[in-house]
This record gives sequence, structure tokens and C-alpha cells, in this order.
Amino acid sequence: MTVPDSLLEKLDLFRRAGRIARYDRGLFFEPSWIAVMVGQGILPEGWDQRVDAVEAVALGGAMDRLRGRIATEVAMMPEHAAVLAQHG
Amino acid sequence: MVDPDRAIRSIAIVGGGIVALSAALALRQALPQVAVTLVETPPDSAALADRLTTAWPSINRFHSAIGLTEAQLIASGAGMPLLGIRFDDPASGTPPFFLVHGQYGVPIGSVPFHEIWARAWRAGRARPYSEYSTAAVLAGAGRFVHPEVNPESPLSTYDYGWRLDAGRYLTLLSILADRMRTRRINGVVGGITRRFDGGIASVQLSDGRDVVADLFIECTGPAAPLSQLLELPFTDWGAYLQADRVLIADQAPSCVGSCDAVTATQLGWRTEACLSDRSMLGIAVRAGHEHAAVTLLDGHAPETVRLRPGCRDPWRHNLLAIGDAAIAVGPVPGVHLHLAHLAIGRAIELMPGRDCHISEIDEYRRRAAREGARLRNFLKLFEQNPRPECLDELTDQFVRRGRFISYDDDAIPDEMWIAALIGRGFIPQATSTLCQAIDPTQADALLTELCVGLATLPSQLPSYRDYLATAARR
Repeated sequence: MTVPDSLLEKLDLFRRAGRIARYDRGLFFEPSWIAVMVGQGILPEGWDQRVDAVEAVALGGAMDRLRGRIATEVAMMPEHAAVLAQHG
Repeated sequence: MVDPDRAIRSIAIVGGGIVALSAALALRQALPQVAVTLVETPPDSAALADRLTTAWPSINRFHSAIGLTEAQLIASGAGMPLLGIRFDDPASGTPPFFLVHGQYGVPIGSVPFHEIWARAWRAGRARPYSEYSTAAVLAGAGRFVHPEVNPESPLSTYDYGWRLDAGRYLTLLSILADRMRTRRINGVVGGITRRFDGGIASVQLSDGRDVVADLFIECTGPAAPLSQLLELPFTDWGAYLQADRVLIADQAPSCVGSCDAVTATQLGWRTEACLSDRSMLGIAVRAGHEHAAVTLLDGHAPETVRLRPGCRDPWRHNLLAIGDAAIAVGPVPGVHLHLAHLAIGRAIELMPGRDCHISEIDEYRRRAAREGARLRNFLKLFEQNPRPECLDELTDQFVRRGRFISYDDDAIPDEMWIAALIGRGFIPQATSTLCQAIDPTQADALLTELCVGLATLPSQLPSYRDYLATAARR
């Protein structure tokens, strides 16, 4: 299959700069595109320069805390089957 | 941006007005590690974004980012909150209408309000569209209060912009620029030196000084000397937008209201924006009609500004054009500064690496091109006798099916588009199947309730002047 130009542009921009090229009335939102790109093993070589204003250590700490919070929330949730049984 | 070594380290902004200073402040705030130099060139009288200083709500984000408070704006006389614009075209046979920053009516389920309204209007059972909008009713009555958070309140349905006094506002921005340690130099652009790839290595000032930077942002006005030197292509919109002269004059303040007033004359739109100590008048005409237009400015000697409507491909190599250097259009109040703020935001969001690689700047250019094309269509609505065929599928879908086609990269919010379409006489002629499912009696009851409720609002609120006096003390 030939890859359409618009997708090539999108891939190139993401690889280079981590941005998502926008299309009018695209079906998927930016987070979905990013998830698919990263899921397919495409990691951006560059990033938004605004990130550089924050110390790398502080940034890493904030990322760890976010991941920790999500993990805690999820761990506290009941099993899917248990929820279904409860509302069954 | 590709890797840390490829990050932009320095940006030079060229221009002597509000747009240049705003770009400098926004970039300083967003990218504190980047050295920002503001090359303050003499103001260009044709830079409408620097002169026609009505601002839309996009400016509020900028003010909060740079720490400029509303109390400062009001107390210094630099700004007054503004709900929108009142348009009146007596010869068109359509009633006056308001373009405000907010909702018109309320939808029923998934059926947009304008469809419900249009069915009732065709049957002679509805009031003009603007009478169903809180902000429009307040603007019509010359009132203003800040929107409320409570979603049940009719006062939660709108946002607001500002009417700025260019001189005082520039002073406020200047103070902030110094506080944020922005390097500022005065100069006149003499020429450029080129890099090997065709980009700009330095801007040479006429006194011999050289300004070196990784990225240059031109906010000079329509003359755009740097864009000319780098041959950024300009697309002329003269075939669509007729006015190519803007006459600007000041007069004694008439009545200070919470909206700008735009009136159609035989020669073109006449705009009046009241500040606390004066009124700014503007009229957009075709060349050759300047003389006749003076009589419409109450005899005040105006300044005539040449306007070449159109837009420039805004980014090539390491040069980005913003403001009137990128897009020049006639005076729908607020559009100019709004576009400049959107462009500054887009530049920060998409800031490329130091090499300004084509795949990075192309995304900016594509978004800007879509936004420009869409804006051109919006402004066509304000030409004399706008015809459906000149507005392509947008008006066709709207008039034939009541359907509004929205786009992602649109500087004009959907609510404002719809109000402008209806205000300029494009009334949906058919009712969609979904709307047909709504009982007309139920719809009539909703319309009446809305209209009657809103009509009683202004009398319960303080006058605009009283409200401003309180807001300035906050």
C-alpha cells in the first residue's frame, strides 16, 4: 500500500518534533494519534521547547507522581467482573 | 525542535506596536530560556492590528499569562470590557444584529438553536435572533457585568473582549516587557545578511547595528520589509473584499457602551468605538471615495490608511510574519488583534528547532492558510449585497438545510458565524428532520420564555459606567 502524503507529513512531523499535524474534521483526537504512534514504536526525536523551562529532575518527579497516582487509583478499583456482578 | 542542541536560543521581534510587544511578552513568558530582542521600529500607521484596538476574548489568556490584571487595565484607562459589535445596515431590510462572544439561545437536545429559531422566524413567530442572546441583549442596553460561573444563570453564557486605548495599553505592555527583562532596541530596518540556506543571519539597522537571532518575527505592519526581502508570497483578496482605504478619526466621546457600533453607509462600513475620553471612528471605502467619506465622519479630518486586503504565506526559513505583515483585512472590529494573538499562540505551540525544518514550519503554514481562507469567507459576508454563490457550500448548506459546517482552524467561533449569516440575511429555509421532531408549540414556548426573560435583565443590572468604576477598584 502506498502511504498517502498527508500521513507521511504527519509521521515526519511526529518523528521530528512530537507534534500532531491537524486535519479538518479528523476522526481521531490528538491523544489517540500520539498513543498509536508511540504504540507503533515511533518515538519523537524532538519536543516542545516549553518543556526545557522545567528542570529535568522536577519533570521526572512530576511524571513519576502522575504514574503513581494513576496506579494507586487503579489498584483501589474493584475487578471488572465484580462491578458487573454488583450491577447484574 | 529536534534535540537540545537544536533548540532555538534567540528570537528577534521586529515592530513598533502592540502586536510586536505582545509577541515579545508572550514568547518571554512561554520560553524563559530563550533570549528575546525587540527591535522597535517606527510605528506603521497602516498596521491596523496596532491601531484598531478592539480585542476579542483571545486576549484574556494572554493577559493572565503575562500577569496583566483587569483592574490595572480599567484603572489606567487602557481598556474597557466589551461584549461585541452591533451591526446596522438600514438599507438591507434586515434588522440590526449583534456579534457577541457567546451563545444565542439554547439548543433542544442535539438540535441547534438557530434551526429552532429559523422555523419560528419563517412562520412569523420569532423575534430577531440577537434577542435570544444574553450578551447581545446586554450590549443593546449598554450594560456589562462579568459572566457568572453558575451554568443555570443566563449570565454564564458569554465571554468578553476589550476595547483598548492604544497609547495607554502600549505603556502597560512596555512596563511589563522591562520587568520581564526583554532586550529592546530602537532602529529602522536597513537590510539583511543571509545564511547559506537563504534564511536571515542578521537584520542590519540603518545606524549600522546588526541584530543576530535564530528566528526573526516580523510584526511591522503591511509594508513588511523582511517578508519582502525573503519574498514571502502575498495573495491579494481584492477580488473578494472591496475596501482598500480606511479613514480613521478621533472625536469627542459620544456614549460609552459595552459594544462597538458598525453602520453600513453607501460608501462602506462606518465603525465607532468609544473610549473613556474619545471615540475612534473608522470607515472602510474604495479608493476614490475618500473625499465623500469625510462627510460621514462628522467633519473631523481623518487620516487615510491604504489597505491591500490579502494574506501572506507567513513562514519561510527563519522568518515568521505576524499581524498586518501576515494578513490585512478591512475593519470588522477586533479581527486584527484576534488574528495576531492566534498567530502568536500557534507559533509558541509549534515552535520549530533552530533549523526551522520544512516539515515543522509547514504545519504552521497549513493551519494559517486554512484559518485565512475561512476568515476571507467570513469577511465576504460583510460586503455589500453578499450573494450565496460567492460563499460556496457554507451558505448553501446553511440556507438550504439549516446546517452550519464548522472547521477546526477557524478564527471565528461557530456562534458568531451563525449570528453573522443570519444577520446578513441568510435564513435557513428548510427544517431538518431532527428539528421537525420538536413540537412547534414547545419551541414557541421556549422562544418566548427566553426572550421575555432576557428583556428584563438589563434593568436589574448597574449601568456600564458604575460597573466599571467598581471594577477599577478591585
